[in-house]
Amino acid sequence: MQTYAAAQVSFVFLPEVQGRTLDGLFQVRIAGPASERFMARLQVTVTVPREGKVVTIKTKPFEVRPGVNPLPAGLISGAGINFGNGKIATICRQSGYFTEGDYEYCFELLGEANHGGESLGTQCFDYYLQPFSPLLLTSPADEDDICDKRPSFYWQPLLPAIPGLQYRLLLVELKPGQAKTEALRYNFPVINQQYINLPMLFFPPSAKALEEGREYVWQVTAYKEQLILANSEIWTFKVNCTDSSKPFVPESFRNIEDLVKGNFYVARGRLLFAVHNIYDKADLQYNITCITKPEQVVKKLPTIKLERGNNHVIIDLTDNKSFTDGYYYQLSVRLPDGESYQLRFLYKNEVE
Amino acid sequence: MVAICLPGLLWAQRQPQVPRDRVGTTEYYNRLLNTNPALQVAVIDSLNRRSGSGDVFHHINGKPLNDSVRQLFSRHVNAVYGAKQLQQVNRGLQLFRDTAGLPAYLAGKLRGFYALKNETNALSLMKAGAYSNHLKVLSGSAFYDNTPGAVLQSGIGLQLEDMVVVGNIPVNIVFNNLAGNSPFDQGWADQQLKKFSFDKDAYMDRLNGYLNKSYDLKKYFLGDIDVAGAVKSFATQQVNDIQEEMKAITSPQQALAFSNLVSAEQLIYLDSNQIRRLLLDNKTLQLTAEDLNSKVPDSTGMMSGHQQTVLAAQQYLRRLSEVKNNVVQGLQAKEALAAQHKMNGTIQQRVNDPEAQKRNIKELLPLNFIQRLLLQTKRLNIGNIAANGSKGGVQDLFMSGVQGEFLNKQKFLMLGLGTTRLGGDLKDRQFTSSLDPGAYSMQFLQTGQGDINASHSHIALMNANTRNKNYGGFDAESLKRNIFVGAFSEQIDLGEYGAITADISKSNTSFNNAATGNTAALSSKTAAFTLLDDFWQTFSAGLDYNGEWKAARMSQRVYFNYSGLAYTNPGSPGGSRGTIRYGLNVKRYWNKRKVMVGFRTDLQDMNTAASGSAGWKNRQYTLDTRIRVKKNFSLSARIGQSTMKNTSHLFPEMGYLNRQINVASQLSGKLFSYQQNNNISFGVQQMDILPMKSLLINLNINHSIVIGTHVLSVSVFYNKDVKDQALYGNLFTAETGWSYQLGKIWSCSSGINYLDNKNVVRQIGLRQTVSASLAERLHLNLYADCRKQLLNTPQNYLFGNINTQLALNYQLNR
Repeated sequence: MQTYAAAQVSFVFLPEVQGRTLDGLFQVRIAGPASERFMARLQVTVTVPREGKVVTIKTKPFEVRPGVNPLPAGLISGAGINFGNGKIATICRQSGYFTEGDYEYCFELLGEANHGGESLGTQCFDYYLQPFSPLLLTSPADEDDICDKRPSFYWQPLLPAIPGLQYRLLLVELKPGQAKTEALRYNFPVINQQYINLPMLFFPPSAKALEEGREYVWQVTAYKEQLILANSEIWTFKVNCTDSSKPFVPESFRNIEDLVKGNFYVARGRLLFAVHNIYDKADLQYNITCITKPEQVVKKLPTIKLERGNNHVIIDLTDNKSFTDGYYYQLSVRLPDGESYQLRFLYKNEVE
Repeated sequence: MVAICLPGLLWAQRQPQVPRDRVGTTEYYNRLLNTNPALQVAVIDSLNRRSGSGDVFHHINGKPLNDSVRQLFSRHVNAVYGAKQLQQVNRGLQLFRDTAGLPAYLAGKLRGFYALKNETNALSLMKAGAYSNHLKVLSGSAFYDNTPGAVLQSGIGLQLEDMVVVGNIPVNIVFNNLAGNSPFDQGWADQQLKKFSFDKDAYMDRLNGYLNKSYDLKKYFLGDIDVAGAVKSFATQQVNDIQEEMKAITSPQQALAFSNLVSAEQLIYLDSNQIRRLLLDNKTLQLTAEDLNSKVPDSTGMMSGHQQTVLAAQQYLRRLSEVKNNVVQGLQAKEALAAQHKMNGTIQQRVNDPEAQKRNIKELLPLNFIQRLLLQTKRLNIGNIAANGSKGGVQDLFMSGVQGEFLNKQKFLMLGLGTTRLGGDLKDRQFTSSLDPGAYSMQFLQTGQGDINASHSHIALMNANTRNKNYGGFDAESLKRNIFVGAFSEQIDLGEYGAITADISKSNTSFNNAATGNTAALSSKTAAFTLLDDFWQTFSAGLDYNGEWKAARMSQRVYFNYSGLAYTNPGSPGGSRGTIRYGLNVKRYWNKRKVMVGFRTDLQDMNTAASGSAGWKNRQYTLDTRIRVKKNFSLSARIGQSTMKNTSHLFPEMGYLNRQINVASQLSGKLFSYQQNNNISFGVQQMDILPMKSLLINLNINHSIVIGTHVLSVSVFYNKDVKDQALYGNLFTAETGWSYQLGKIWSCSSGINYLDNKNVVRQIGLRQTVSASLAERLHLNLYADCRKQLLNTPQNYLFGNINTQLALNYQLNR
């Protein structure tokens, strides 16, 4: 009877995944005998050369059923644990993680009731365990401003690469005042893509593009099948592209006739004035000379098109090298109707 | 003889003349009021006048307030603060009468009464506004996306945001329901989240509203008192009283002389010698300096006429000097008030300052215990909420539970308790278990000096127990354990140069039914009692400097973190173990922010072996530059490298290598008289994940042209793996879009897309977006992207051919 049971019981265990943590050990599945049900305890012993025993865990009795079965629910919370004395055991006792080493994982079923105390089957697995590298995000960088509304995402792979390891990327809008972790759960994701094999994802072409001025959070999860192996940190970025070309909002346009009558005009980066054109569309005839340094030639003035009727003229001087902060200049304008005006002005750099 | 009836006057002479309390505190003003008769005169005169009675207080013996005002005052206290407080006030008034001085409490209440605007009552206002409900946002969304690798294929979401006010306490409520359908789900999965959060800003606004409706705070801070006028009227009254006294003890002729001798102005502006001089110079009285100093026997019957005059003159001087003392104090009060108001800026500023507001509310409004507590509450959240504390304690946690933060006089307290889990949310439908324990119940607190976002010294404690539960398919079962974390964090503010934060943290884990070594008896210890076990393995420390150097147009961050190989903090899910992490992030601007250069490096050494040096060495470097060549033209470049190497000799050293060069340009301006925007980015990327070695080339062009009210946009994305290693590597997409307006309400855009992922998938399709303001507050957004599959293979897990979204948002009046 006993040998029958022992021969019939085997264990399904993936040390490269399940051998990484104490809790992972209980992802083991038991392949019971074809027809018999019986009560038994599971004893798991993990050992490592030099140090010997790392941990032994013994569960309460449970029913072993025919076929391949996971451990019954609630079983492991009542298990008794015995840790070894070595360094690896200490780390394991404090963190639940196995550090790097050449482990032997042994699973044994111990009979209960009429099989009391007998070993009903035992199986051991050897594996050199190399703990995972951290799962680190790369780009878009945390708290960065980006211009691309369909950005690509990069992170660093979880190493060592185990067969079947894949990534899931989650991208969610972060609403104003919302906490990152709340955003991940309260909002529908923009991207929630699984089966990613490489540590990168191009923005899904069919998804709606990100929106200017909005903030987003993203996180990558490494998994194998249905098991979460590691989560990255949660990073944020903002789509903010208008930074380099701030729109200029003009305050007011005064008629050039009034300007000429008034005091010195101060041009903060640009000249603003209004003219009335009674004739058809034409280019504005104008030139600017420097009063402070008369020998300086003012070049590369923009072409200004006049429409029929009232025109608000903006002559942008900000990127023109001929203009120096604090110098005086004179603008001469000749309108299509033959009227001409001279306006003296002080050039000041635009204040940021 | 008419006594000086304001009890405070006598008391005041024994008190320091200028209050020593911390300026600006309510004690300061109360003391000022207590010690300065002239101020009292002003306040009480004003109150007496308000009652309509012509009585001036100091004519009524022992009663500073006339009866009708007293009654009003009592009624005000009773109505607003209740009977218990009224008793206190009556006791205070008793003391008032006993000339033992105005207790500070009474002075405060009296100031409040003085500042009371007519006919309004804070309590009735608060009662009237105590309950309300106010729907803020109602939004709904639905989507369908048949991307093969999408976790959710379709979903419907509803969110309701509401503000409920109960007992003048505003609470924001969020109800969120997301339902979704996964390819691997049978039927729909549902997720309900709720959040109740105390709205501190709305609370303060509300109470401030009551305050400003019922009280004139300018008066509360004695801002409108004409102290000079009060001093003068006080002095005039006193001089008249003294003259009355003189009539009783002198001949009519002399009385006349006394009555014209010293005016109120003279009393205020002359010193005692000058007043003496006035007495001596009077021809009618014929006094000498010796007379004023001589001792006249106090036997009335035997006195000569001159002696009587001398006696009267001496009494006159003595009484004048008493009054003079009070006048001097009154003038000092005036200066003190003026200085006070100057120091605190205008009174208006005091009224707008949040700290001052809090104080005024506490002093003037009738608040119950909870309302008072909430004045010191920064945050109070209940439900499915995020919890955050300092590093080393609780960070980036999401839980079902409650968290509160309180700050009172720089003493901070944060408390929280709840349950957390790693999976089981709708977004994680595909996961059924995790390597780490899947769920915890935890309790935490953080307390100390200073606010959490400013300079502080705090300790934090966190206690967690694993939970064995199944959350909608996610099995959180794990070996039972108790984890305790103790942490200390310190933040030092360097003003404009930023801040330094330092933290240390220690964790301890204790498994239930566990033993070590050959001990046979299994025990379950409480982790908190053995917190110092295995010290270095479970210790973590960090130092972080984050700052700006405005003068040099520079911002910088430097950090260093250590965590032991077994450090475990379930309160901070993003935490690391077994690592030394350090890095630098510097950004500098030149030439009016036209040029920016940023450098960032993050280095991380992760130890994976209990002894020895095996582990991972990670290096990341990024150099960023941006140059604004012209107002409408900028260039940027990024060079980056990240590597992950293995430090044990058993495995290949290089695990991962990524080198990237990216250049981009942004150009906007008019071309052929159309406004155009152009973004181009080009990148070369080397990516080695052994054994695969890829060399990727990326090109991304976006161009848009504004044509009248329309925008035409074209974008092209191309990525190629030159070495043909990555399945992903050869992707070409081209998209066009045309935006237009339909009527006044609808704004739309339509486009054609093409996609080719070499040998995997090829698609052509249409994209349509519609957004509309259907009503003033009702907005609709529709997005649809539909494609025809020209080629599809089983390798395609990224590219679906239908993606639609519909969102409706109803924003109610805020």
